[in-house]
Amino acid sequence: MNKLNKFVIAYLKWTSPIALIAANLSALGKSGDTIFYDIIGWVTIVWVLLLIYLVFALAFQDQLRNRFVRWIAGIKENDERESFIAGKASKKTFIFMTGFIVLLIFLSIIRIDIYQNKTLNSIGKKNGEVRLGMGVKFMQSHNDDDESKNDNDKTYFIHYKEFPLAVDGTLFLVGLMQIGAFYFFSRKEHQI
Amino acid sequence: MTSAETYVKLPIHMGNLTLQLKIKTRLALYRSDKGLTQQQLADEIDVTRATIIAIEKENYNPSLELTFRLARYFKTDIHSLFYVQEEN
Repeated sequence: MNKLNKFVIAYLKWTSPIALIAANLSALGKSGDTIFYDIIGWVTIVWVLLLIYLVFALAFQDQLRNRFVRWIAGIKENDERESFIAGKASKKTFIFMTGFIVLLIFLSIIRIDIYQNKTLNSIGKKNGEVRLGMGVKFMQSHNDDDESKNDNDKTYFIHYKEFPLAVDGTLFLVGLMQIGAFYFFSRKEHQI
Repeated sequence: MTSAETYVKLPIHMGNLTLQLKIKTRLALYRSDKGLTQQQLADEIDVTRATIIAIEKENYNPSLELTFRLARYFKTDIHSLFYVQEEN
């Protein structure tokens, strides 16, 4: 790890309490003209800039990424058996996560509606409807209106459209699941 | 059959007969003859103690390289340290 990365990590680590204080002061709406607020403000600005640098460095610097991911996932490869275990756990994690991602994709494209339509001409005294659909959306649309929202004639029993988690929530979930699955499978392999 | 056994069994198909080969080891005997602890042997061979434990419990088959390193350390051949047990 080069000196710049070492400095960035040390700065982020040791000044994180100050950044937390700044975030709390901001949330409480407190501000002032004293040197105390100036120092906290500048330290926090540098903290955020260095955090942005670190995130990009993690994405593009192989050595740093390797070290960080090994630390966060608890990957140990001190000898051939640990390498073997890490390999087996990685394979199991990959298979598990691929299955989980397929489930997430399915949950985000499926649409299920089961409702009773009061205005529908009843056929044999039946006015219930079941609607099943699928749709793939590659870009987020903000003015995506749901036609069923203003529909007062329908009594919905089931109305499922799209995965309820937001994009950042889903990414957090996938990241945590990936690390958690690796931990679980490597601990399981260690027990053998 | 324990889960450990599934780790080391090598099925060999010979006509209608399927033999299960289980790798057995005398590593613990060799180590105790030399008066070494598992940690001391691990340090000598440059592996972790958990690996020595796993080999002695026959839960892990060492690589050919590690097998030769162990044999060389105990000044013996690999057949004395490891042998195969056939099971139908």
